[in-house]
Amino acid sequence: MSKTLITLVAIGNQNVADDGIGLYLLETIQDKLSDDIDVRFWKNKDALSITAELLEIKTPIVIVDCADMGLKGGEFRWFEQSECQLAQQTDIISTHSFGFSDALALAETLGFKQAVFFFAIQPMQLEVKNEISPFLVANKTEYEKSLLTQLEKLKNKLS
Amino acid sequence: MSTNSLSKPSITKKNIRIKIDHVTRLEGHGSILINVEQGRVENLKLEIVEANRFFENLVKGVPPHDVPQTVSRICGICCVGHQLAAIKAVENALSLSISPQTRLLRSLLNESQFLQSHALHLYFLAIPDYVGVKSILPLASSHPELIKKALKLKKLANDFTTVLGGRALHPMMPTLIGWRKLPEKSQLYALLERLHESLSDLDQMVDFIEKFSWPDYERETEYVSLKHPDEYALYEGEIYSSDTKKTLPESAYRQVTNEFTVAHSTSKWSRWNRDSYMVGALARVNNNFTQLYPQAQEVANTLDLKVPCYNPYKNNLAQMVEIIHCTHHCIDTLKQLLENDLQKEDINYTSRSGIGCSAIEVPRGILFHEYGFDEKGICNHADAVIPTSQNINNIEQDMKGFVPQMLPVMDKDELASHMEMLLRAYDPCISCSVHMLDVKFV
Repeated sequence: MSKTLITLVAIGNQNVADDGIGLYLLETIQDKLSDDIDVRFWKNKDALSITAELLEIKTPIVIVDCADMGLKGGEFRWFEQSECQLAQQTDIISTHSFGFSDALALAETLGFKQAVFFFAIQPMQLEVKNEISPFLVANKTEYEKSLLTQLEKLKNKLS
Repeated sequence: MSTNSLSKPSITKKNIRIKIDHVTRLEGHGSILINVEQGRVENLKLEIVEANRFFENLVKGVPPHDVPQTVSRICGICCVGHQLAAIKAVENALSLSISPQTRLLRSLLNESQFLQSHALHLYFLAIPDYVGVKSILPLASSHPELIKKALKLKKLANDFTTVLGGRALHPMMPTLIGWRKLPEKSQLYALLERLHESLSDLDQMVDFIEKFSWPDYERETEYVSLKHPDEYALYEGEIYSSDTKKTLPESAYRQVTNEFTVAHSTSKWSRWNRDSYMVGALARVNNNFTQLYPQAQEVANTLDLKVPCYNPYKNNLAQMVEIIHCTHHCIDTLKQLLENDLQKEDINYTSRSGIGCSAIEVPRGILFHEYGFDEKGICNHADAVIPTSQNINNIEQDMKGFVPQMLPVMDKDELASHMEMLLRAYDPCISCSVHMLDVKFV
């Protein structure tokens, strides 16, 4: 079995329309990935559990998720953590306001040092329903292709 | 100005107005209003302005086995408790009984929720107050190893719920009279090993909170919890009052809760034998101390938690004591469960008309559910009384006792922060959790 080079993580809620795009995408491409990519689905985890998971990961991480980046619905971006500022609510931490960025900040405070990359897709709708927007579904091939290309580039860089 | 002052004039002639407007770190909305004029507390209210959620109407028209899965959504933290309370109540309504195996699995599932909820509240929401920091991040920076241990416990508890329930939030496996899919024995052995490993971490977590000084405030109240003749009552028991020293059956829960409304709260209030009562970890420890595991009793002594304890802030210490108790109880329950192979059970049932209620201890106190079903077996009645709605009245009474007592020695900032800490000590769930409050002075 190959040594794991990258941990690929899908985060989202499949009951909130496009919030589940990361899970949808990884579920459809996980069979196309090489053994050196460890795929994880964080769909039922609270933020503190995500902190605990992050602390156990010993490779660079790629987060696949929907994100509000000010783009048009369905547009996507690959970026590194250093290229963005993740909004945090550290002064009102509760289980409900404690999001991924806070989980990451807590993990970093506790010694997490892995590089974090994002493959993010701008959502078109975030209603309570378990269907991805037709436009995003139609673009699935494009997302797949781009994500696989970025992963290959990252692997080459790491090896 | 109110003509009905809440306190006698104190030596101080302070004027203090505190408005903690929308208490953050609550799921929902709550505010604290305090008005002190010339050293007299003229007004003090814990306002709850959360809108009604109508879960009791949502389940009307639903078949029995769908009720627990629906009401689990009342709360993301106490989902297991709501689910188990509903399962028990529906079974009572339909006169269904369960096997010893299912009883053990439910007890484990319930206590997995205690471990994750208490660890979350104690170490991530409450303790920053006692270290003098505003959130978990500075605490993680100054005490990384402690917070890693707390995270490890939280993850263990979540994994525990996942193994038993199929997932950590809104478990799918427990249902009426049994389990949809049983956990693998190998998974249970792995949990047993991790629980054993956690014991040394827990020792260090106890050592850490032993050093804190707790606000010196006591107000005796009525402590209400379940009581069971053979065990520290969490999954089942009768309703016990520290005032009457007597129990009532769970079917008499309305004689206990006596819900009523006040103008400044959309949450109903409760009272039983006096103006208010307290449920939760401190009530349980006060009422059932001798049934705690010896290791948990020892930790209570280490933490100087002597029963009966009338200091509401020490509800946090009682949570630590219950973490120790539940860890040891889960270890023993797992061993008992693993003595035999788990048996797949028939979960088919016959529906009928009837009404049934249940009481179960969840991390924040006693939870009552009641359901009725028509002749076609369809739900036509539902009632749920959650622990926080039982505690809200008592929290306000605590605040009304605290402010006049501390007014001579505390300034406005100290009073405000102690009100936040007091509210947090109860671990209220106005739908769920609380930590820091957004303080605005008027």
